[in-house]
Amino acid sequence: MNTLEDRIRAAARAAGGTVADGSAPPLSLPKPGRRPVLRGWGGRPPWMVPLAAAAAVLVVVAASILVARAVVPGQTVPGAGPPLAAPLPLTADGLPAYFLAIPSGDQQAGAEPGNQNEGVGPIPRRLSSHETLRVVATDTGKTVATATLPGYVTEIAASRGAFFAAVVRGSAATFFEIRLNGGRTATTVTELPIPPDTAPLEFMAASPNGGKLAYSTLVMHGASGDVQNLVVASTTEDSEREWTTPASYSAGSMGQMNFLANGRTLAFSWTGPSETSPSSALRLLDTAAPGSDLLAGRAVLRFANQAGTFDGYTLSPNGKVVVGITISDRTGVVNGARVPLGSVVAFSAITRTPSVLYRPHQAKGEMAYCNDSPLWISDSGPKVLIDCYQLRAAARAKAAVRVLLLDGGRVRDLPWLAATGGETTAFPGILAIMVMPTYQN
Amino acid sequence: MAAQGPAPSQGADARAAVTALYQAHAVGLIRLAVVMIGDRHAAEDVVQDAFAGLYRRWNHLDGDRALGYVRASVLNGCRSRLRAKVRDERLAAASQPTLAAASAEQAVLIGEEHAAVLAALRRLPDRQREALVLRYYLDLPEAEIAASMGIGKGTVKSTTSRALAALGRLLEGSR
Repeated sequence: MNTLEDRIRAAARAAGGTVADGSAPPLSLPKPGRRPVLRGWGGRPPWMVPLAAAAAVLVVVAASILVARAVVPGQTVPGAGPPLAAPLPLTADGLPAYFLAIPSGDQQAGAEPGNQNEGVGPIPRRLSSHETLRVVATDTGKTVATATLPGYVTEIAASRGAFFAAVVRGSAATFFEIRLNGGRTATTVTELPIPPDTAPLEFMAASPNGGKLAYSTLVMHGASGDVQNLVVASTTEDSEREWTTPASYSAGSMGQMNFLANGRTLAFSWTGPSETSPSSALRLLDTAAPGSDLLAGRAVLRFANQAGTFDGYTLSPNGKVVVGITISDRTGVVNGARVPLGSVVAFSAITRTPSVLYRPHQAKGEMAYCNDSPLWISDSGPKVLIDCYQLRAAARAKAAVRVLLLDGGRVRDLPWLAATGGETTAFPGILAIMVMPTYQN
Repeated sequence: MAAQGPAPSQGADARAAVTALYQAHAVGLIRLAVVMIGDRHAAEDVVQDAFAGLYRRWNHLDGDRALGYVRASVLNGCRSRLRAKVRDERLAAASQPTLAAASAEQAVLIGEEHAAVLAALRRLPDRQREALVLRYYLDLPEAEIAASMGIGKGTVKSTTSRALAALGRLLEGSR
């Protein structure tokens, strides 16, 4: 038993211990067979509730028809998928003009209004039946269109022209393409001809042209331990290939991944028993080569190296620049200077020479760091979009979320994107990234 | 449309069964929610909501799975509350009560060391936080953790391992 586990147990028991035996309030259940009244819903009279509910249902149904007309929930589309989407434009800064975001739970359309303590609302919780994602303009942070998916969205990804979502319905994940229409104000959602997968999905990435979708799953394999699976499936026809870990590497797992510009090489982070184990590294896999050994390719850069310790890397699509965020403030040294926690470090993929792209400013009483991996990286590497946090120890201080564009030594704040903190986002070429929730001391 | 609850003829049985389950497990589940979100009133709301959901779905559930269902609902409710609070903390006026205030109160009640660990726990991504709490607070076996979180047993292991590493870093970084 280690100290950290003991600290978790002790802290959790202390918190739980503040709730005394027998102190639960009486249970309040809705009347059987009758629609409960939403007493907490903005002081509106009860007769408005059924009308509002009916209106909401109409809106949802109409939106589903308009927005997701290609989706037939519960039915797998056989045969061919949609033709590949044309690339979406870039902003003046060279960033992808749009990205996909999963809003936090309470922002979902149709989320139950009012005081949850009052019991049931007339509008069902949408998260289990469908989720609504938003397509956001990078240069304004505003939602330009939404897409309604028929279940719980577990992963998202983006190509240069379209977005993708893995949706869990029942016990299996199915896959959808989300495409902005010509006016960039609405989306078309199409179920892809990828066989449903019952294994829990972990990470997903789309090839630059959207023709392939890669996703990783982790499953138990009896006494031999975990087996990491990688599936690369065509989005246009019913064909897929699968890779698994050799038995000798049963302790490892895949992390974030992205396709290189050639659309066939997949770069992924591989963690062995720990970040500092010899096998923990950024790895390349040629998905067109024969074989099914996930680790048949080569390692590019180990997680533990002269610049510090990392728990994942992102490789630029041209394969020349590796970007990572330091997770230790003790071991890293670049050009004679110590690399603090949460710094963004770029490496030449060929020479492995490190350079610090961004060093978070850590004032006294603050904890500053950048998220585990970038939101986006340009094709050749010099531009990196990343979200960083400053947490203050003061009880009522607010966490500051900053989304930064690192561009050839310049650091530019994009404050209109700070609202993506707490959301899962997908930019072209980069896997879906969960922004670490911020929480105040 | 939402289920409206059991039919009137079956309602009495369902009400009695759900009430009995609530009496047996409510305190434990409120404790779980307090560990997750650090706010007693919000925790009680989450648990009430979970049992209301259980009641609505009673006719469609295997009774043996009711506790697992309601525990999963509590985890979902905590997740939504935490996400809402994170957003609200950025948007709300400083005068409104926040989780920060709740944590300050908790620090007084349970001590600085425990409050620091809990604050770090709540900074973790949802899945990592849940894996640690279910494993080290409820001492659930992997299969039950997997069922409560809706993930595979293998993912429980890898998630727990990553969560411990992340928590260690957070605690080290906050010193």
